[in-house]
Amino acid sequence: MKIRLVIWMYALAAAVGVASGTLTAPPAHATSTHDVYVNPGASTNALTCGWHDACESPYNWGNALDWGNDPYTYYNVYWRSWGIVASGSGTMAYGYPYDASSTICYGVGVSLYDTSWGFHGSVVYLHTGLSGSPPTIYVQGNWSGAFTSDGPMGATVASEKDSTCPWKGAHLHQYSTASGWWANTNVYPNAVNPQTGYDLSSIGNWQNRTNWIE
Amino acid sequence: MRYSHWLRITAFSIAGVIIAGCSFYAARQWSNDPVVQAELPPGPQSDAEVTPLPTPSSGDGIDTSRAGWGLAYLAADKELPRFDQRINGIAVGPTSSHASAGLCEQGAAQWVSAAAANGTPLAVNPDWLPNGAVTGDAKAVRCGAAIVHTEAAFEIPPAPDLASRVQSGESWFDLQHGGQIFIYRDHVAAPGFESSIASERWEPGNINRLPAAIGRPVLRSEFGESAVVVWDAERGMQTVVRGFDVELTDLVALAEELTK
Repeated sequence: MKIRLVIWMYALAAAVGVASGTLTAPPAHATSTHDVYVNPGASTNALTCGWHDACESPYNWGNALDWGNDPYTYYNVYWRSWGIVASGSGTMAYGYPYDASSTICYGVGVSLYDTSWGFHGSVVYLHTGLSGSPPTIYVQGNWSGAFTSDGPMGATVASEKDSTCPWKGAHLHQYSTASGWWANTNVYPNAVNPQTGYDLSSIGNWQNRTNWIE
Repeated sequence: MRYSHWLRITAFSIAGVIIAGCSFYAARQWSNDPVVQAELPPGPQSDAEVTPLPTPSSGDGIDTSRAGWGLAYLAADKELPRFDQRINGIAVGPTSSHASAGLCEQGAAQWVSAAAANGTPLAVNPDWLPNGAVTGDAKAVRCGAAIVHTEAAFEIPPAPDLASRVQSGESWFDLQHGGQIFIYRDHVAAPGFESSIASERWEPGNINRLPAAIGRPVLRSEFGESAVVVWDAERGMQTVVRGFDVELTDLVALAEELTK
């Protein structure tokens, strides 16, 4: 009799657990924050100019960094990112490459889209020629951070498109669009302050980041 | 005896709490399982999972509720031929370019603020912007005393509820989905613009009675890249308005605004 009572009590406890667990679970279309941290895409870890708009005196602040790529040895430019989402894993966003050349300077851009094709800005690699077949980026994400590296997206150019492009020599000028993006001012210094030795794949060394709720 | 009785009750109670806790945890995990939540199939995880879809005709429906739906149309567009051509006397194509006006010695060009171009023919100060557009990066190039180039970027952020509305069946085309616009203005000797827009999407146009080359977007006059290149021969001035996921009519309106 006592054993039957105990079994009934345990069954009741299990039922209460299942019911409350199911009822308090997040809904099927729960929204979660999607964070994309974009790292430097350079082939060399030498920072040649800290945060700037144009690396010229009087060095106005901008969300761009210059990296010491050259057109001969360290010329490739890659996509590198970390993606964090609260739940789920796999492709959290798409990076679609485009020719970001203006009428005077060469450039490669990667537009960032969520899975519903909402546009969330772009990352631009200036003074870079677009690769013949730049890959679409399947940006990976999970709760602890997933790393995505792809490319090359392009290569640092040896000369510019037009003499009106203000360009003093080969390098990579990398930035993101302004709206909804942040710059990692904790790690990288303001212009000029050249430094070297950065781990370009480390999540802590992201350059520009953005996020959205989906 | 009394002590062992209470010990037994405590042990039974602890076991009950553990059973309830484990059931609670298991139920929540099960509810979060992607298989259980698989109402929206995951989008493509690699190029191998993207099947190119040809551009639909105007009457055909476009299902934008699938994750990564845009990739299939962009993959089909990539396969279209791209070659240099002249549209209305304006060179456009993958290796096209304007002919330099020779206003700048190599190394003499200098970035300056966009405001430095105010009052010059190259100023970029549109009185009108597409709905939701915010001003991004803008600057000019000075060579000696002359402003020889200006450029400006505008961004349109997506509606905060875009994802949920698209996933529940509303069309991406009917919602504020975000996009970007670039404007480039130059003094040139002959007009031209390097572009990877498919050759068949270019057509001649007319902006404020000036000849223009108009590159249509990939889908429904707004999905993908599009451009309007306007040539003002009298002033030796070229204006490019380039958009990604922006209504072509908005680019035309901006080009009209800048060249009026």
